[in-house]
Amino acid sequence: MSANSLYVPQLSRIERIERETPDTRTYFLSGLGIDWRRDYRPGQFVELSVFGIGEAPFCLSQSPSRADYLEVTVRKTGTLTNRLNSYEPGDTVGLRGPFGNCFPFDRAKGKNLLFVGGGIGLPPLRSFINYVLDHRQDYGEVRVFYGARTPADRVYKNELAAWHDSDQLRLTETVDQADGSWNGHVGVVTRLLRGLEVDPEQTMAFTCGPPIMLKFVVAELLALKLAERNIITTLERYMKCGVGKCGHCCVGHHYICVDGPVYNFEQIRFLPETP
Amino acid sequence: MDRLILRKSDVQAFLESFLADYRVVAPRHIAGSDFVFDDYRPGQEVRFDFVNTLVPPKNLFFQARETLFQISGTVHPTILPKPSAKPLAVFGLRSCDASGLAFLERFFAQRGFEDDTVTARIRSSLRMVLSCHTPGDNCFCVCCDGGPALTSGFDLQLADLGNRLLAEVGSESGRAAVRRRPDLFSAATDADYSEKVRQLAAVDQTFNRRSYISSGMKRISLARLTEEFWQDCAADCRGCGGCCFVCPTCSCFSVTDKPDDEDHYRRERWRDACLYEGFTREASGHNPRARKAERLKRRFFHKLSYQYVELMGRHGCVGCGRCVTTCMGKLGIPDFLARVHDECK
Repeated sequence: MSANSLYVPQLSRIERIERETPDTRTYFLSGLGIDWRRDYRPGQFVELSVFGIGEAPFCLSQSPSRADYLEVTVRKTGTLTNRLNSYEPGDTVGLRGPFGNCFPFDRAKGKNLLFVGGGIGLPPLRSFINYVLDHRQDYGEVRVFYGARTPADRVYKNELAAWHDSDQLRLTETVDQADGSWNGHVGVVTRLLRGLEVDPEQTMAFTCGPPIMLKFVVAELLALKLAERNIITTLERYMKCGVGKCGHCCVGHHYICVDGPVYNFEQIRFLPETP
Repeated sequence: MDRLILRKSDVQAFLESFLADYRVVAPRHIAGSDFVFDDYRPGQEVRFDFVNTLVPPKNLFFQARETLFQISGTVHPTILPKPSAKPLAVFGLRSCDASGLAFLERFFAQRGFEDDTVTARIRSSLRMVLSCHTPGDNCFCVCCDGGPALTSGFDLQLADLGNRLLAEVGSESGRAAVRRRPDLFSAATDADYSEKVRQLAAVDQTFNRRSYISSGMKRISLARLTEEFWQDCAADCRGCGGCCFVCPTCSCFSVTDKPDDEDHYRRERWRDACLYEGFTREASGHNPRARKAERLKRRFFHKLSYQYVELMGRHGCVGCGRCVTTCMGKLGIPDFLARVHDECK
């Protein structure tokens, strides 16, 4: 071990790249010393190095029960993700992790599960959805609501098609703006939740998406009488180290990278700053 | 605790005994009352007549810019480890700064993730603390459990008794340090120790500043301060981040890759400040602390809340007074606490 092992990434090869949307790709990562592929838990994240640029955190988007590769789904947004978007299979990135807490998959056992994802908010949820599907007998009914801007902006199109056909979960999709190919719901994802019949005592909801979406989703879920502690999200913050040192992701006295990123809304209400 | 006497005229010889194995650092006079920590050169004059250095010795351990490792190649990279360096022997650090190092050592080691770039440097170092008998205009360590003298967190603690120093041994490394030149040390008498105690009691009465720290901590922890109060603070804050950079306990940093040439990069970490707008700005442009008032609230919550005392075992101010010296907006910790006091009168 070198003296600065905490920050030295392991090298990982991009084995395959799936194009999800015009600006989003899924990277299948393996090899080169990564020995923790099946040891992470759904909801955890990695620090991914694009050498020459730096590092950024990304959630692991596949369930560890299916982790033939480590999968991250990345939208090109800033400097690092734009450079990553030029990478090809065979190229090498760096990984540190897995970091953070995880979805409460034990506490959710026996419960009916609602997943509400918006846009690029589906990848973290998908790691848990597929985990639930691989441990199906441990959980009750599973409903997934997914909203994207347009049909072209939907990630995991093949998997969504399979979920539509599956009797293991019920998927409802919507888009903000439809095109000629779309004959599903149109409008924001929150509208799908209105008047939904749920047993609030027996239901846990998991939601990820842009801050404005979360605000309205939580309001709908509370209207369905779900308790705040049964509404769970991942807090996203600008983050550098992933290990509770750099200070960027702090909310109050919480380090989102170590204490989070998974929180329920009761915990969030007691954070000294509202996220 | 072992108590010994070292004559001031023997300090040079003592420091020179470390040069082969340590990087020896001591305060160097720049101009006026300005001192900085710099590499000690054989024969260099050792000064005792300074209040404190402009920037804390934190910089030696948690560097302003630092290469974490080097990288050759981008899409097919090789990571080159960093060569190791000699341990540090720091002479003349003040109690507040030694308290700051103890704080950083705890912070960088905790939560199951040890940042040994910092902790190894602190632990392998020799900390030769000079306790204070003349506080500076902005010092308030006496309110912050940061000085003027220490009971732990040093290898040797030296008290100025005129032309002699009373040396207290605080660790095994301190004992080993003395063994390098046992001929320079003699046993201290009870009278020497009494003289140190008398000095400490006297210095306690000479502080210029007192802070309302406990009532301030309570109000910060319970979020008792109004939005208006924070807006007023924000109006006076220049957002320069100076308070963070001169603080012995501030630990925030950023990381990025810096090119050396087309195919060689360094992963570099540099110290960052929570008062900068970009500190929390995300790639999407969303910024959870876009307003300066929110950033100030963040800074003081981190420094002074009970929530952080729980994590760190103490609050985040050691009373060195550098933020007072640096701040153009009268928002150094004691000035800020005075504002809180006035606000809640």
